[in-house]
Formats: sequence, C-alpha cells, structure tokens
Amino acid sequence: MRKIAFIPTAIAAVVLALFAWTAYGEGRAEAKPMEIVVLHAPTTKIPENTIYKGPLKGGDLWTAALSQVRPDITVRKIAVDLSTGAAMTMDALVASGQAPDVYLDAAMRTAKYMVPGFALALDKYVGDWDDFFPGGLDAVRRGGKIYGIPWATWLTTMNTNTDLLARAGYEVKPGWSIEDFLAMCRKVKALGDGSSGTYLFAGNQSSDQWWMPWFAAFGARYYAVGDYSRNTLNSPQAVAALKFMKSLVDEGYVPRGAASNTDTEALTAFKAGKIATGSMQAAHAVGSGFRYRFVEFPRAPGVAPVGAAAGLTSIIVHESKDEARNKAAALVAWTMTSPEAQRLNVYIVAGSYMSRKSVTDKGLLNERDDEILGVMHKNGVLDMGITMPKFTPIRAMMFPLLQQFYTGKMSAEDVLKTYEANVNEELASK
Amino acid sequence: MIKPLPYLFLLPALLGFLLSLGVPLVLVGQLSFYQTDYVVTRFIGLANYRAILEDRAFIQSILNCLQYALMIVPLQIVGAVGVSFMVLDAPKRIRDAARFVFYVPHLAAGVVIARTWRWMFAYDGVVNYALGAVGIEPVEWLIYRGSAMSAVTVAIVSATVGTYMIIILGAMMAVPREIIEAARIDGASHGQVRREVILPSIVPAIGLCALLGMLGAMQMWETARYLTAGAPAGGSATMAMDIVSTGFEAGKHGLAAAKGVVMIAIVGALALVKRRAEG
Repeated sequence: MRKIAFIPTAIAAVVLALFAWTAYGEGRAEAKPMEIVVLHAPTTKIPENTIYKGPLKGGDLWTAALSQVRPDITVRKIAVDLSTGAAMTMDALVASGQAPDVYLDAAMRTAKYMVPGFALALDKYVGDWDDFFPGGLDAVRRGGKIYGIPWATWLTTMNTNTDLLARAGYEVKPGWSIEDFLAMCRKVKALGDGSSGTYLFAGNQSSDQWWMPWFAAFGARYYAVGDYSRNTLNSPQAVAALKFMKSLVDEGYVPRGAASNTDTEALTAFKAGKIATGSMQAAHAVGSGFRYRFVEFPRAPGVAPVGAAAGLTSIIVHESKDEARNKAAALVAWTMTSPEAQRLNVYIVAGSYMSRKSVTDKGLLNERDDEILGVMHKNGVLDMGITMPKFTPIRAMMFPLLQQFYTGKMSAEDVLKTYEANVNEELASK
Repeated sequence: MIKPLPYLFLLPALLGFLLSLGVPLVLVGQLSFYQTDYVVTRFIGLANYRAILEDRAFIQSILNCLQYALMIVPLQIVGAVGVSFMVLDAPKRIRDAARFVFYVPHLAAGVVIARTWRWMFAYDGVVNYALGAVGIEPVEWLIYRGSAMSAVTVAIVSATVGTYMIIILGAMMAVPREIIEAARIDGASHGQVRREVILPSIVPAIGLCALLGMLGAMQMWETARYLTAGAPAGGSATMAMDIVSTGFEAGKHGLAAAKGVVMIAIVGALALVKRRAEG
C-alpha cells in the first residue's frame, strides 16, 4: 500500500515542481526587446536575372536597416500558407487572439482587415506618402484615412512559349485577334505531341487571373468604372467569352480535365514546355527551360485592348492598446517599404513592381518586365475588383460554376445569371 | 467510500479531453450564434442555422458523406477480412510482413496519398494506361461526380485497409483454437470453419471497424480536398470541406461553426444508431 500511494504522490510532486520552476523562471526573465510579429506572403528566391550580387536576401535588407534605427525592436516572421488562396493563416491567428502586428499580403486578402479598430490608421505614424503612386494609396484609404501601405504591384499578361510556337510555325503579332489565337491553337495541336495552345482550369480558385482576362477580351466588364456595389459581368459579351472558353475545351486546345485541373498543374505544364500561352507574372516563368515573351491578350473585333491584370500587395498594421507597440509596428511596416527595401525586396524577392515613384531604377528590370509593363502602359490595367474588401469570398463563386459549365451541365447564360445573383447578394450583405 | 486514486490516474486524460475537445466544442457552439469574420462580430441568434437549411452545397456535402460511408466502409471491411483470411494460416513472418505492407500506406500523410492518386487518376495517368492495356477507353475520372467519388473511395480504402486488417487479424487469431478444432472434428470444411466459426466470432471487431470507417468517411477532408477539390461543383465535396471553405475562403466563421455543430450532431447520431442496432 505504501508503495502504491508513493507513485501518485511522486508524480504530483514532480508536476508541482515543474510549475514552480517555470513561474520562478518567468519572474526572473530579463526585459526582452519588443518583438514585432510580421505575417508575410512567402518570399520567392532571387531570380538569376537580377543585378544584385550582394550577400543579403531581400528580406534581410530591411531588418538590417531597422536594427540600425531601433535596436530595441526585433522582428519575428511567419509565412502565410497560400495553399487555398485564402486568408486561413491570418484568420487562425486573429481567432486565437494572436493577430500579427504587421500583415503583408495581396490586397485581395489584406483588404478585409482594413477596418477602423482592427487596422491602425497610419497617417500620423509615418510620412512621405507623396512618394507612392496615387492608385496604390487609393486602395488602402478608408474614410479618408490610410489603413495600409502599398508594398508592390504584380502584373500579369499573356506569356507565350516562343520556342513551342516556332515549332508550330506560328508567330504572335501585335494586336492579335481571337481568330489568330484559334489559328495558333490549331497549329500547336497539329504538332501531335500533346502540346496545347493554352490551359484552362476550374479546380481551385487561385491564379484566376489566368482566365479572367478572357472576359475582357470579349468586351465584358466585372464592375462599372469606380463602382463596386454590383457586379456587371452578366452580359452578351461574357456569354461569348464563356462559349469561347468552352470551345477551347471541346476542340482539345487545352489539356483535358479543365473542370478539375488546378493552377499549380497549369503552371507546371507551362514550365514543362507543353503549353503555348498562359497568363502569369514574370516571376512565375523564371526557370522555364525555353524562350518566352509577354504579349497582350488577343481580343474580339471591336473590343478595346485588354489591360494587364494587376493586383496590389499591401501591408497593414494591427491596432494595439499599447501605443509604444503601435509606433514600433508602424516603423517596421514603413521600413519594409523604404526605397532601398523596395528596390531589392519587392522586385528581386517577390518579382513584383515598386509602389514608390522614387524607385525607378531601370537597371532592375529586364526585357520580360519591360514587356509586361509595356502592356500596362499601352492598354492600362484590367479591373477585376481585386482590392475590394469582399473579393476573397466573391472569387470563390465562379470556379464551381465553371466546373459545371466545362462538363456541359450548365449553360453560359445560367453560369452568368447564377454568378451575378450570388455576387450581388454577397455585396449587399453586411 | 470513494477512492480517489482511480480518478487521479484519469485526471491527465480528462484534462486533455477537456482542453482539446470539450472547451473547443463549447466555443464552436457559442460562435455558431454569431456572424463574424474575426474583424467584425455581431450576435445573430439562430440565423446561421436557418441559412444552413437553404444551403444546397452543404446539404449536398452531407449526402456525399453518407454516400462515401456506404461506398468506403463495405470495401474496407471486405478488404480487411479478405486479406486477414489470406494470411491467417500463413507462417508468422508472412503475417507480420503482410501487416507491415498493408499498414505502410496509412503512415503517409493524407495530402501525399491524395496527390499520388490524383496523378494516377489523371487522364494520361497510370489507371487509364492500365485500362487502355485491356482495351478500355480512357476515363476523365475527376470531372464527373460518380467517377470522382470512386477515385476518392479507392484512395481512402487503399490507405486504411491495413489498419482494419490489423484489428480483424488480431480478432481472428484470438478465436479459441478449441472451437475451430471442434468444428473440424465435426466435419466442417476449411471454408465452413471460416464462414461459420471465425466470421461470427469476429463480428464485434468488424463492428468496431465499421464504426471507425463510418466516422472517418463522415469527417473526411484532405483526401477529397487534394484529390478532387470537391469537383465537379461540390459533387464530391465533404462536410468538412464545405465548413473549411465557408470559414476560411468565404470568411463566414459563424456559419462555419454552425455547420460544424450540425456535422457533430449527424455523426453522433449515426454512431448512436449503430450502437443501438448492435444492441
């Protein structure tokens, strides 16, 4: 009996001792530097075609700069999980009461958090807003105050595998039409080696800028200019666009399984050299083992040129009750967007383009960037509503409809009617 | 007189249950009465539950889960029993090797299993190649509801049959040898011994496997998510997928919590019905 009674007593004593030791240790812990938590979209490797040959990776440059100004601040970085294209990591942190001090991500995700009371109004904490492009600042302004810092702009337009097209005997000419595009698809298919003219997917909601520009190629608009209160996609032009996309599926100009294929598979197939065209950022094509060139999207007769699809990346700062923390977090966010950090971090690391006017070092950009920027300067920017606070739930509404459409279970008219109803219901909801 | 010692030993497990399951369940239940995206939160009473009644996608996912259970569980049981019978009379090292071989897939992460089968069920994948070898036209497995659900079923069964085989084989080996020998003395054939003696003796183990299989099918997420992504249009989606999508993609965490409560109620009710049916 004594032996049996000893065991639980010993266990309890050990547990109590551990608690006491931990509490004692916490009490004796010396004051630590203020730790600012930064949740950021995953960084990419430095592309080989850059001019920077120094030892620092982009992310380290701004933390080194920060440590010179405020050595009492340390930064802990957490990378976002983008496997679903959703704000899952941020939501989980916020729900558990551990909202990061600084959140850097695509504006389609950060827009949801630019709410007074959650995000810090940055007007009084940092300055030189004049150095930012006005379009970027408009996207982070709410009720006249600035709740975010524009970090970078990513641009996508149609990339073309020029080696594959040369084998197929096709060359893309400026201002090419839908008929030209179909002629290209026929030639690529005629190669008979499994290559396809382009790629369509509806298996997941990410990288939808791959197919969204097709609507603009037929003259359809997602929203009226400057008015995101209701969706305007449901139109004869959009019906024509959908029927065109279905024809690509039915004629075998895209790999089979469009209803279930995903963006990862699309990009993998493109970089493997099997796909002649696809909409992407310059950074996504890096590492492809073939020559490629960015061009504008083809368009239907009488339709305005299709702009480059653009998205903004922005930084928000979580408002804390501790004013010292607010100041520190605002400084961290500002340092991340300094001209020096943008010059390297934004372009070289993230493969995007700067949001500051003062960062115009042409030496950073290469021929491919010039091609994409050229499309933007010539044709403007395609407005897909990416900076809307409700873009994330809305973007999830099209791909299930496309799945039914590509398998012939839904007509183009019904897809657009259902999409319009769902989107407008979401836009009208609180 | 109440003896405190047994409860002291139960305390760590009870604390673990409360912290990892009990408290979260209560919090989810509480969250289900709110509308929140974790930035703005407001109390809305039963509105989320009313919304579920009109949520066709979620209702479809419930039906999908029930269908998965009907497809997956019998195959798991038949597979586990079949393989167990095959190795029951084999030498010990063969039995141990079989346990290892069939259990190994279970050790792989669900994402790995799903991605591997997605690759195999691709139009130009291994499965269609094998079908082509016997003169059958290739199938676009992942774009039609029936074939997509079948693909998920195959992936799940292949990964889990080993687990149930271990349970079933253990139960078979626990059948008293005297009963088997008595049956043989009475003239029972090899097949009759298996059908009339061993199988009835392992019914409790089969029941346990069926319950575990059903619970697993009803709560499945990663295999369906990464193999079919719920395509086409939610036709192969599960309740868990719908809940994750509602919460983390649509940002409607209160509604997702309400759906979670409904899912717990459905799974709990099914488990209760099954236990009552067993008497």
